Amino acid sequence: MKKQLSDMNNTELRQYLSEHRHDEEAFSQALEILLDRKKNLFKYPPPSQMNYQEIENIFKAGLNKE
Amino acid sequence: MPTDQQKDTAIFICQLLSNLYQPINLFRYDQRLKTIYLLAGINNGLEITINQAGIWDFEL
Repeated sequence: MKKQLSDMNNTELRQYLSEHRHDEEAFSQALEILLDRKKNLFKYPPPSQMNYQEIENIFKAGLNKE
Repeated sequence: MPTDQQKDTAIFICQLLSNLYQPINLFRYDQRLKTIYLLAGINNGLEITINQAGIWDFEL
């Protein structure tokens, strides 16, 4: 049986989104579930209001951990 | 359609990823949720979302 979207973990949802990029409805449903799970979503201000170097450093630090 | 703020943030993010030599594997604007969604990095290790106000977030 196919796994329900709500039963997928975030990694599986990312994979699902990637595979359903051409199916607008399926994509949107999966994205909604993923967005609902993120509690601290949308914390970075628009680029005009922030320090580029600071953001770049955050990305770099994360990428180095991979 | 994405808002101007959303577009500005999207360009900023794409440039940032390019500066760091990170591939962008998936780029989508969701009409219903009015959200831009990006999967980037080797092994899709970076997930970025941008809302209508141009406010954004990323998860590693």
